[in-house]
Amino acid sequence: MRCDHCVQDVPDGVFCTICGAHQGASTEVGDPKLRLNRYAAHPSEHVAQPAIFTTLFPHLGHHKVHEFRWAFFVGLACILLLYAAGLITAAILVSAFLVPTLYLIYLYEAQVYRDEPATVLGFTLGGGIAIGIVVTLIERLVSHPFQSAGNPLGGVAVDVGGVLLVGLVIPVVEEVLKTIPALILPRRVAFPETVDGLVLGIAAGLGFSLAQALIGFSSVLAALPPHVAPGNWIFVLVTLAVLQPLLQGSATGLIVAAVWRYRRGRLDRREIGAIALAVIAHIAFATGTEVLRDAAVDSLFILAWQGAVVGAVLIAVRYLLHHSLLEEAAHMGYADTVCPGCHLRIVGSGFCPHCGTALSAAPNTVKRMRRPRKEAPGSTGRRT
Amino acid sequence: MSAQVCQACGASNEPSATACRVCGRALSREAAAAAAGLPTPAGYPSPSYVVGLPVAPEAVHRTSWTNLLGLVAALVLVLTAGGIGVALIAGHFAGNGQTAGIAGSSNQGSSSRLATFVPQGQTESNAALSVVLPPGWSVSAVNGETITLTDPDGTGSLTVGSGRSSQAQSAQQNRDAIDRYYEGKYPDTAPCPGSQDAPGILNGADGLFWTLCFTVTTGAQSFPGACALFSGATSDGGVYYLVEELTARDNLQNFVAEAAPVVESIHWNLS
Repeated sequence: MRCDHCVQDVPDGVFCTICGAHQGASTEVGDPKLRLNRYAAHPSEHVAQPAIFTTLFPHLGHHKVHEFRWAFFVGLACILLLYAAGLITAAILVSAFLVPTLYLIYLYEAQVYRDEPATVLGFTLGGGIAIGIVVTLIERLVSHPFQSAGNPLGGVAVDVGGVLLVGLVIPVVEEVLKTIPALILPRRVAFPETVDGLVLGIAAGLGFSLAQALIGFSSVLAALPPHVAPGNWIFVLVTLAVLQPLLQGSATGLIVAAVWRYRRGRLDRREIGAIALAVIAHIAFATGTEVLRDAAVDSLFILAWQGAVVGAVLIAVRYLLHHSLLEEAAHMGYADTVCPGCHLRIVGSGFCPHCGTALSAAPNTVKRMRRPRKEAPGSTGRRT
Repeated sequence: MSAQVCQACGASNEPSATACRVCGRALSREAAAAAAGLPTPAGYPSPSYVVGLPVAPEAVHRTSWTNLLGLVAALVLVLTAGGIGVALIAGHFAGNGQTAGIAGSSNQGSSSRLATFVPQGQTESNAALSVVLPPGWSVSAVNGETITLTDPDGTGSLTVGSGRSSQAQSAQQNRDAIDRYYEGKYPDTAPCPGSQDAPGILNGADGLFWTLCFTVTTGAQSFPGACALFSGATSDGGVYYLVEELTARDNLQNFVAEAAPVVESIHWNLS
């Protein structure tokens, strides 16, 4: 068939295997070439869907994402059980380790590190942990947690100095330092695609988040008895297990992905906006949390605020990755391969003709199985 | 091979590009086909039908779902054991910490007033109260109803407040409002172990003494904190009195002792 948009002769399918455009679709759901309603890494979702796993685990296919999702829910259920049992110390530790551990398994599953697991994991996760330890220790030295109790009978007062330090200075410093491990990775030429930069940045951010959680809660871990009344610890645990690692990982991933795009010669408003949004989101997360906490606002509202910020960052990551996949997958040649999304054995270029998944976001094991084709079987070899 | 120029917008594109990177229109078909070096598979059957593939492809995934769930379960078990172990070991070395209340006040319910020791130092005051600062203490905030002081080591803060209540409230009602404030700010707020609530008088103000323990979270940092509190009110509930001594949980006794001279110097202007 001839693609409606790039006007190339391509194998029959719902999507053009060269440019990924949705064939024969009406414009009611948007531009078929841009296909915002078909996220390039997971075409069953809209780009603006704040999904966690299909955003931060882009190499996972449709089937595997469900398994990781269930593993995450099992981990959350365990945290809930520990909280209900009053084992708060254990719940804090599980919360800190859950998402980084899942990501480590994902890196193994997708073999993002190619043939250099020690180097890549050492620089990204390990580097993030190292920087997290140093930065968090310094933050503990400069923070004054007992500076002011406030007057609950005289009206709410916000500690402006504390909010500026915790909500502005520290987030900016963290966003600058967290990206360093991924940006100085040796042999970056082995990881040329934006999706590689995104994943490496997320790994560094999650390593930082793990160290920050352990150091930040070290006093609490040492002071709490084995069993305490659960109280309202659940709010702290939700932030620790879900929102904080997602923010740290996705913000760092967004910045590193934008830098990867720049190294490919792309520095448009999208890339600059991505970096700005990552920093602003972190500031908004920290500032909003401090102000709402000083004002003694209900903890549920604080969680809602944090969730809204994280959702916005996830959508920004999806937009950047979607556009980069549309551009970069278009330059792949024809090959026999397996689509990681629909698991069909296909002959395709950059996109699966059936489901539209960008084949450049496939696990490395799938990429290695690609058998390039110069001439398809049964074709006349005519050039058009 | 030289760069391709888009006929529509004039943008320069890579030699192997098939579509313009600026406007998206297809570049010269002949140039695209020649640059790709591959014949377009005209007349090719459905892409799901692959013939002649000599070897069945390897499995796409490396981690089975059982291994995945097993790893998560193992993580939970190991960290649960570790968390309990850390808490037991830390508790063994911490010993029994006694929780102190605000010093320099009568906790026995009598109306007697202790002989006060007035420290030498700077006096800080507002419309509602005045307090004398010993050497080393500093004022961190002052407004019409509240004075907040910091000790020389910076290990805690002493907040003294007084003012007209917006609606008449007894000391108990003021105490309830303070408890709700702390519970909203620090979700795990609870009375400190071993502490006792007691009525009493602080420099002429009738009220209640108690302590609260909680986890202070600022940014990503968390610290176990404690606060020794006094909440008082006039008999008609029109004026409130407040003293808060906030510090680390294991430092409460020391901080209360250190702040005792300051607390004893408090003079309430409103009655």
